[in-house]
Amino acid sequence: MKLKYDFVINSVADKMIAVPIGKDTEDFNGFIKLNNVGASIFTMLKEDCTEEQIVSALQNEYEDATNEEIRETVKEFIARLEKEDLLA
Amino acid sequence: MIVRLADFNIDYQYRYLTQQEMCADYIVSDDESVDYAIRVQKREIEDAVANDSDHHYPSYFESLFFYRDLAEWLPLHEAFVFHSACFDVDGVGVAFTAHSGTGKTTHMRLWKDMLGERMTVINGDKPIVRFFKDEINTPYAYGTPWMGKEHYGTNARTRLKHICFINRSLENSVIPLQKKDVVNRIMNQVYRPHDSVSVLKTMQLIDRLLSCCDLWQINCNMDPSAAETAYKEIFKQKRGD
Repeated sequence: MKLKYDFVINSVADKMIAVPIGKDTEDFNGFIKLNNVGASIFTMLKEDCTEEQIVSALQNEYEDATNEEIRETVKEFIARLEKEDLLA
Repeated sequence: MIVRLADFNIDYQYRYLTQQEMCADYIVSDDESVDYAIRVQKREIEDAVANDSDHHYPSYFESLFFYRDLAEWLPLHEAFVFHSACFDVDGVGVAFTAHSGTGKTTHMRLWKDMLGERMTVINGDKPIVRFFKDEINTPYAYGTPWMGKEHYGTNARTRLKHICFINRSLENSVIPLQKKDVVNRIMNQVYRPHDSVSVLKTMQLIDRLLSCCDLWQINCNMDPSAAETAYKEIFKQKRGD
């Protein structure tokens, strides 16, 4: 799976913000606020990758979190992206 | 013709004379050096007219495409279009921002009625905010030819100090805000380019703008006392109250 649009991710007022770019973004004129984990997932989803690959990468990044916590977070985040129709 | 907008010289070869009228206050000598050139394509205007159900004149689209072309270019040069009603009070710049129809222009008019000659309207709809390399933390707001339906504006600039988010309310009050409180609201009021580099620059400029300015929420009704309440609170430090 991967994101439907290209996004630019940057900090505004200490919040990570993702803004879609390109001509095909007319259907999505908004932007997305992300926490640090969300920004990591978002960055990974710029390229095609699996849920397992994301969980595995986050486990290396967040060593204090349990496997279940990370898996749950990733599932919730992906469900949110699906709901917003942001996955290709 | 060459128009000077936000101290950039723009070579604009227009097709319809209304563009010259619209830009009259901003035209400079043809001898000036040019920072950027804009040509709106005839085909682009014709396509827009053909697909327009609101029956706008072709010159409307020429103006719109001129604005968009400029707004896409500005972030690469430390500037952007900020949808707001912007004015100067005693040398201090104030911007009222809100969704269209909230009443920012009406509230600005109440301030003008109260302050008279002390206040100069810079632009009622689409001022350009620009930073300079030697004054990296000083945002300047400039007038533009795009002044909204009320046509409030002048070819002038001000140092932007206060950004006020207007909210209609029965009672008048002013609430100081932090940067983190306004991310959604400001992101929706700044022109968003389509190119990735311009988008990134815009986000960086918004972040800098929020760090440079005092941020306020003005809850206001349409009574003249609304302007008095807001002005007293926002300018109280300057007045030493």
